[in-house]
Amino acid sequence: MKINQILRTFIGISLAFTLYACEDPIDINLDKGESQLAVDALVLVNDGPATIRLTKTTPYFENGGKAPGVSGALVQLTSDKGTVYTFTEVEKTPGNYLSSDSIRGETGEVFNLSIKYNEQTFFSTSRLVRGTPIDTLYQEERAAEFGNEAGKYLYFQATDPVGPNDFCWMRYSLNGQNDLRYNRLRAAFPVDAAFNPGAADGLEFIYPIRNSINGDKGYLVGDTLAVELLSIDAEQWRFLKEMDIQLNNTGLFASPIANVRGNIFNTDKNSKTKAVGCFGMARISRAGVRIK
Amino acid sequence: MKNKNLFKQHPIRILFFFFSIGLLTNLGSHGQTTKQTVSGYIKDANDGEALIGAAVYVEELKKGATSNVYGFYSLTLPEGKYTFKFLYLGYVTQIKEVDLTKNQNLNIDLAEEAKETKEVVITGEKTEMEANVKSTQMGVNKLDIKTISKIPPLLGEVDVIRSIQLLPGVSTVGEGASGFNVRGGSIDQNLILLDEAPVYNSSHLFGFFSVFNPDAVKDVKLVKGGIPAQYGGRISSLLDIRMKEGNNKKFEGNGGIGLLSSRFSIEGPIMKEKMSFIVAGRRTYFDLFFPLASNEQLRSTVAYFYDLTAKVNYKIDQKNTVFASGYFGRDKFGFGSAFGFEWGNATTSLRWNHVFGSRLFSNITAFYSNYDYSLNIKADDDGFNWNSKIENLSIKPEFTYYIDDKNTLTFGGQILYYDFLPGKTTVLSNGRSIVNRLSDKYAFENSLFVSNDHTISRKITLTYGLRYSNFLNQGAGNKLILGDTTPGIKRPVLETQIVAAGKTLAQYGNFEPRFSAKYELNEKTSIKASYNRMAQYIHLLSNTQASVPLDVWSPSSNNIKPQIGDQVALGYFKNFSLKDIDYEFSTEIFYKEMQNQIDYIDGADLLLNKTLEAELLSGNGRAYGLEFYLKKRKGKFNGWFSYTLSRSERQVSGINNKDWYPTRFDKTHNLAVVGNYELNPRWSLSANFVFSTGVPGTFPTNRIEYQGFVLPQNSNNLRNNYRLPAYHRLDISATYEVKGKFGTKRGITKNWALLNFVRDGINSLVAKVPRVKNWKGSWTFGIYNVYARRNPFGIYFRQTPPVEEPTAQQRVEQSTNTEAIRFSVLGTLVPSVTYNFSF
Repeated sequence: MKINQILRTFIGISLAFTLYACEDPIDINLDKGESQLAVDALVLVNDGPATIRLTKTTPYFENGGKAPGVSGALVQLTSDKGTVYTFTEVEKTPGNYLSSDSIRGETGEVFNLSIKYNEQTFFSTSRLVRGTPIDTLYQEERAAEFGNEAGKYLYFQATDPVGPNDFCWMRYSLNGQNDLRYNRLRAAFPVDAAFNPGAADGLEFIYPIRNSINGDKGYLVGDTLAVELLSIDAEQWRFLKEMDIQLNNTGLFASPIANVRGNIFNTDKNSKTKAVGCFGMARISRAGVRIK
Repeated sequence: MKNKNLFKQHPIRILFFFFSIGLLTNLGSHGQTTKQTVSGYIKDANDGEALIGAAVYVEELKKGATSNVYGFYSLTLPEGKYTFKFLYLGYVTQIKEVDLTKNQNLNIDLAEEAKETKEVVITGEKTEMEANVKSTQMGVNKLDIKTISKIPPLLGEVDVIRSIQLLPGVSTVGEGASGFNVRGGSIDQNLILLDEAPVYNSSHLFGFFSVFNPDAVKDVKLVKGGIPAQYGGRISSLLDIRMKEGNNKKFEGNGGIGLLSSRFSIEGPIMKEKMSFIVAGRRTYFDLFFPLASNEQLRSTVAYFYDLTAKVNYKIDQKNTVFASGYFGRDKFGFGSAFGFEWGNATTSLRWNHVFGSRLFSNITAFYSNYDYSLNIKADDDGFNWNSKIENLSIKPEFTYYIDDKNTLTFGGQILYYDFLPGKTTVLSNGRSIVNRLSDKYAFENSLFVSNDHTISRKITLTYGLRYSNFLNQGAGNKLILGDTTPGIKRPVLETQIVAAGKTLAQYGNFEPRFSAKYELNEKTSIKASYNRMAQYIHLLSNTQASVPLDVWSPSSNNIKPQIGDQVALGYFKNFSLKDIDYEFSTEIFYKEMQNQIDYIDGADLLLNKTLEAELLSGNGRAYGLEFYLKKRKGKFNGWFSYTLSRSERQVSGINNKDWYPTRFDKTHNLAVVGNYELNPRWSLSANFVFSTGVPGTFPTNRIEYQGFVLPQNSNNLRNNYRLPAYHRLDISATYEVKGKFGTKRGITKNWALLNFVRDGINSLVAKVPRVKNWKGSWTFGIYNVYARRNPFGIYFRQTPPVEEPTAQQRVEQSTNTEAIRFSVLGTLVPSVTYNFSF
């Protein structure tokens, strides 16, 4: 719930205001769980060769470097129109599987993902949705407000198509990197221009979403921002939203830690080997700008 | 659990059996002698406030009665000459010779003991007053406002709910969390009544303070078990808060100026001894200084809460009294016109007490209660507005029939109407707006109850009763037909049926037997046992660590079944003296089973969700524990010790592999020590110490990388598999009473430069306070969390933030590191100073 997040930020501010609350890192010994196959399969259509990344889950505090890639899997994508795409592993980056060409698809087309690994077959399904393009990016000089410094801020504009629920994910990069200034998943998950299905169908994206590229500090002159608006299906949206809750979880009104529900299943229902992660087909609209 | 099953199957038959016995003994005794009734009201001689639970004791018969919440008592005895004693703790006992030949009215005004004579209370009187031993009620803790106001405050705010958390069987998920948990129940399982009207959110400032203004509160009673039949609708406890009626003899003002808020109340007679009023207000005021700030951001910030309590009562004649009381409280936060968030309760209750003859007391309450919130974001052509509310209307007639000296029958009913607005949003984007409204939900909760207090012998007393409650969820509305539950997956919505206005969407009925018994081992010792079944039809849906003001109450429906709670308890009560000091001791053991407890699928979205019911899970709950309570009520040094050993668990299909798991408010050990010491007539000191096992939390085992982000995962699907470190805290306060000749060089401060300095400071300040006749002032200095412990509210997991100015290399390296973060709500000590006054 994005509203909760707004509130949380607000409450965070009011608590900080009292100067009594505090956060500090502590050491904890955690139990180690079983390592599982993790599927990172957000497949972009009409966007050049698509990547699917397979890794192993590792103990939570196993820090220093990325999760180990899973090699030797057979990764295939099949559309309900019969097109088959085979993904081949990239030698230099174990665990990364690349399609030979762009994935082509029409709105409503259903894609099935199949991953064969260690004598187990995992599958998932996603429907390609219509796209919502970014209309424009615009820069604004903002005065200091409570919780925000004065500076240059960037907004993105898009309009929700009228009709069925349109689920999106807006993400951006700062100077070619994930914007780690806030250590949080700074992104927006608009649906029908707002936060909840049907809440603002057909409108321009509402202000809090247009503003979601911004943190509490402005951008510097010369910063390059690349904004991406992905049109995704309901399952992918739910997965990302739950991920957002887990990544931005703190304070008085934190949600208890919960597993983000994936959509990757073993074809053998009775098998004890499970996989985590999410598969979803997506359309992408990009826009970039250099701060002036 | 044989006992319980018996009740499950034959609740009515068993109760009928008891009622028959009660009635037969009554009939039998009627034949022998002519009986007459003494009845009347027991009040405070100073301000005319009704004394709740004052004792009437008939010396010759060694029998007695207590006054009800309106101060009324009635005793029916054979004709004869009697010595009546009227007793109330801290008040001078009155003795009346009564020649009982006909029904009599006897109103009593008891005078408060002068402070100085507190030590020389007539010792012979004590035994009769020991209600804790003598009554059948168990699981009950009473706190009067004087006791509550002595507890060291947080930021100077005397707080009802915070005080309750120092009693056995009561816990909280942490500092600043809204509400309280009683005997393993969640916060929505407490029926909080303010002058009979329910309060849906008891918190100001998200949970730091409670909504009750201490100046307007007279009496607070928490009932954790053996809940009488006249109350229902929540399965864990009853918190009965009674407001002052207002001094009916003379005008009186009370107030306080603190760091956070100021409060003021005025009360007095409108018609002497017949009609009086009280108006009490409180407001935080740090925001009033915002406009003075040089910081522009701060100047546009709105942050305050206030509450207003008002009550009028009119004693028409000896037989009729009417009361009207109202409460209105609100929290408001915002930045200029860009952001606004507010919530609050409003309650109004009208009551009419009528005495038929001298043995039938009736009270009819009609109330209205409302809780609502709104959230606004506004910027030129853009905005977002969100409202939600729960509204109540009810009428509750209740009768107490003082049949004879052995039986007191209470009966009545309640009609309760609900209107829920789960959420309405208005979205404005670039000048165009869209309104969305989740449909209103309407419901009736109706009940009938009967209960009898039955004295079988001097040693044995029983209270048995039955409540029948019926819940009707009505259209217009949508009825969701859901598919089966698969663990971890939202239930599919198979069909949405439209239910027309006035047509039934779902209906439930429950018989709720209540039973408690007392067996007196001797004058000072008793054993008690109780059983109660409670049904709850409305539920607060919340899946955050602490409840948020945005959380929505939801009625039972075809998918949400009513919660049912069964509790058995056994207790041992003893009053004793050690070296001439009196102590009150009790220990209770309880076991509670709860059906249809609500939990949520992982990642459930509870707000503005049209298919919310599909994200709920239902399971069982159980709680058991052992409570100890030792209290020293009188003397220069007084206070109490409370300890609870308990467990609170849930079992829900789809969570924790269907194994039992501890609730997030489960605390194995929970200890509180509260002490007050009167150093001399001016200085009094207070301290309390609390210690409890840390609350459980769900911690991850593994990490999942997805699109460059690191997600926590618990690969065993365990819930609440870790414990936070233990919680402990010490608070202290000192109160200095300013009265009489003030500021002489004599006294304890003679050689203490620091205290002299403080005294001189107070002196010069008080000199500026306008002199009013009978003006009394006091300063309270407090420190909350004296040794500044960082008690964790929660432990969270996150990707490690980068260093301030990361190199490109550091950025990449650190981007997938993870760490655990301890979050403390109050990570330091919190000092406070308050000036309180009365005139």
